[in-house]
Amino acid sequence: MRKDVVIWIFALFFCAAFSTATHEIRSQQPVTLRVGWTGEPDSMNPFVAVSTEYYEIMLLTHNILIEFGRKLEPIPGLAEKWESSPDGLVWTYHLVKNAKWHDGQPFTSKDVKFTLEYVIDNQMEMFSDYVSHVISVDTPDEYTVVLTTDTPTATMEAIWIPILPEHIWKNIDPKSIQTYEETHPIGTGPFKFVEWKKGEYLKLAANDDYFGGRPAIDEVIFVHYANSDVMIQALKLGEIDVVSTVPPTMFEDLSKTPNIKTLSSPQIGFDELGINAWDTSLTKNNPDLPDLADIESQGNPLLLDKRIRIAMSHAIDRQKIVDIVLLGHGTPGSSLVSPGTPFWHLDLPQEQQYEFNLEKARKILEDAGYMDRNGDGIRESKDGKKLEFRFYLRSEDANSVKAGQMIEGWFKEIGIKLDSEVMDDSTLGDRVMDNGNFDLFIWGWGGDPDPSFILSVVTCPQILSWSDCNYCNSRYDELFRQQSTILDRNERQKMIFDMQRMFYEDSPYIILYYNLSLQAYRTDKFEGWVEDQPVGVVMAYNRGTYMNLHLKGTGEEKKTGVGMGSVLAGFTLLWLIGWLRRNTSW
Amino acid sequence: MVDRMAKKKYLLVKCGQTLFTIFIVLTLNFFLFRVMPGDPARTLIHNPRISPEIIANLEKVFGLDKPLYMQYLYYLKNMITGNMGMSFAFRRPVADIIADKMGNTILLVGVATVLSIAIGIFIGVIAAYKRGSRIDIGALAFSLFMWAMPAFWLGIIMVIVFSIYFRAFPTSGITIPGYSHDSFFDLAKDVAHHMFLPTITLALVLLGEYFLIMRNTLIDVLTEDFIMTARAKGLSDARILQKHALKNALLPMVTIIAISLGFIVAGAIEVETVFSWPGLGRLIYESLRNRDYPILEGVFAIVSICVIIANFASDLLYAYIDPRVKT
Repeated sequence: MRKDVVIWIFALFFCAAFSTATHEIRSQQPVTLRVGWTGEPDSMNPFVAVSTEYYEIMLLTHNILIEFGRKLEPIPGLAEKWESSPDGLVWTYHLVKNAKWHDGQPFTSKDVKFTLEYVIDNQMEMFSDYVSHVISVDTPDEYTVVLTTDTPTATMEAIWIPILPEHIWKNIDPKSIQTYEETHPIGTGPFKFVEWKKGEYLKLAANDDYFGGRPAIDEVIFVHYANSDVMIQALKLGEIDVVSTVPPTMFEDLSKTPNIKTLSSPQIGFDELGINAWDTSLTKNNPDLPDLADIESQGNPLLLDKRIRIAMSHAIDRQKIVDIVLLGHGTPGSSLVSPGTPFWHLDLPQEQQYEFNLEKARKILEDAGYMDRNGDGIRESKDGKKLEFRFYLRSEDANSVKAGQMIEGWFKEIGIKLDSEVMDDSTLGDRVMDNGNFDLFIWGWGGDPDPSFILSVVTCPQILSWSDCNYCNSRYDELFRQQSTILDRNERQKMIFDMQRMFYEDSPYIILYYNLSLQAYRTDKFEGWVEDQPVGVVMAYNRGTYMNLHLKGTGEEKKTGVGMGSVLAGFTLLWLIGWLRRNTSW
Repeated sequence: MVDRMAKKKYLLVKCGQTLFTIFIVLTLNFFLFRVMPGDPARTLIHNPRISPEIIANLEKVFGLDKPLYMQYLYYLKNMITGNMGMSFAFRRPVADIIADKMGNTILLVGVATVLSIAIGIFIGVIAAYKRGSRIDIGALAFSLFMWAMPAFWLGIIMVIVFSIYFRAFPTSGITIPGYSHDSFFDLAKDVAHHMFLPTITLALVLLGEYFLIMRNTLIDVLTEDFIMTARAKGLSDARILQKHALKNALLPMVTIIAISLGFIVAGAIEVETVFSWPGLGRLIYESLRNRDYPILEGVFAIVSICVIIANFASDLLYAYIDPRVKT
């Protein structure tokens, strides 16, 4: 009898040890996704940070009211349902009830009110545009927020402001926000911030209490590489699981490597040849533009002639630039809204585009009266002004310099001379955006999932502000105002198409190419990568991959799998002992 | 007595010169960044439509609202008190950011420099002593080859050979990302493992300079008359080398070593970039790209002060080791 007791105690102990042992293995080796990137967040302070890397972290640690799906469509975030009043002025957001801050405090409508008012009252950089029409934020109960606007606003489903905890941020003085250092951001998102070693890595851990369900992986570590060649080697070695940007030169080789999948996806944004099209007759003495009343353009006035701009457009072989400069990883450019946001992108038919045709370009210039009268290879206007322009390129982007050289060659063939100068971005910004002292340049834009921002850049009031071509067209501006008040997506799309067509025909920008985002990931450790979205598996405006990813072969039952296994093993052991006890003289 | 007076005077003059040089360098450092094109406020403010009050507040925080000479006086005062202002890009005190990176850089570049000096001198002495032999020619070719080698290229080759082919060392970083170390020993082991490749790369590249200078000065010294005299006295080769030749040949090395040690804090941009080593070299490069003037001013000030002080130290050392330096 005593022997029996000893055996049973032994069995139970063994069982317990086995289950804690398996548990320990699990907690010692968390399932970690390692993301390699060559950039780094510029800050953890949402009111200062502008880098895409920061936005990726924010997406994982915080929530916004309405988030973006795989096709950039609005999907529930902290608001599970929302509706607008018939006149489109009052928007009601019904919030999720089970959300908690990472420090355990409950999330309520007060936090939303606080965040939005913090932005509105203090005109916070970047964010204030999203709520510029909001005149009041009301909270009828703990889980409802009502926003009232002064005009119907099309972007009320795309308020890209991370909701912040009132109990923490109420203590932070908005006046010193520019120098406030956020060391440990608290959000409601599926991952909690753990630590950031600048220049090394940034670590996040799964949030067990996430209202949308805990992610299957336990940790995400973003590893910073200062050199992209080494980063690719690290992916091949398995030091990291996914790379957010693959250099085009290594893409081909990587796609042939076993256990690695490469993908190229459309990106939001483009690189353009900008032309100074500032017609001061439209901005001087314009009662709507008091700031520009007595400012003269410092650009070459010849560029106000649309025919020169169109001839330039005909003289650029965009496909060749894509093939040579981007090694084929891009799409030739046309309209202002990039195909990264397919719903809003105007896909101009070939016959409506200014195709590459040097003969046609020469003819347009000749018909407009620009001839080479003195035989120096450069055309002159009727009053003898040379078609010679300043051309600014970016020292920080080798692609812009290469494309610039190609363009210089084509323009020479049609009798336009370019004087290239390579400069850094601060100098370029100073000349182009702050002083309008330029003729041509190559630069680019990234963008929002909503087209409002990129469309706004080329409106008249943006001259000497965001605008870098100083385009001013009252019809375009009128359409811009109208579309921002249209709540019906299809109707708004039509207007946005009209705007893009108008802008393309006027050609103050010659959009050279839309970039493709090149990414690569390992296929041997995880499965559940979400591919069918802009940008790729990561940095994709939504957290699909991070939520969906799980260790290969474990599927969803991973978490219970370990527990069930040990219970099963315990029972087998007990049965075995019982069997031995019965069948031996033990 | 006269000798001691002269030494004291020499010391005072050198001190004065050093302080004056530091002052000139700091002044240049200040104006260098003010004459560069582009408005520093531009890098501070991402939204051109921001309200004038916020701009004014920002300029006040960063001291850009004052006239230039006031900014200069404030700058001098801050440099003396060690307050180097606020970084534009990181919005953190410059001193903190530099302190974060300084240790990493001193560790990597310091070890590599000391290693390359030791090996460089050792091989240099052997090569000079056996000049014209196969060892000399081999060492000469090797160190010229290494000296001419671009550091980033050598670094990538090291990664390919040791990380990818042999899988012996990690490709980059300073520790395993996200790993929490149990003990100091554990941490030291991890850092050493990560440090190996960048240190060897840097040491190989730096080696050539010390080797060549050591070899050539020693050869010069070995052909002088007093060596002949020593040999005529019947001294052994080893004794001639130790007591007569090396002592004289080491003099130029002292200056070079002192300056190299001063430059350690400047980091090694190429090696730090290839191996993603979070040091000052990379900080300088990134700050230059971001136009982060306060950081650049801070780093340049520290680097130049270190080099000047190292130079000062070598001057002092000279007074003791070189009997010719008296006044």
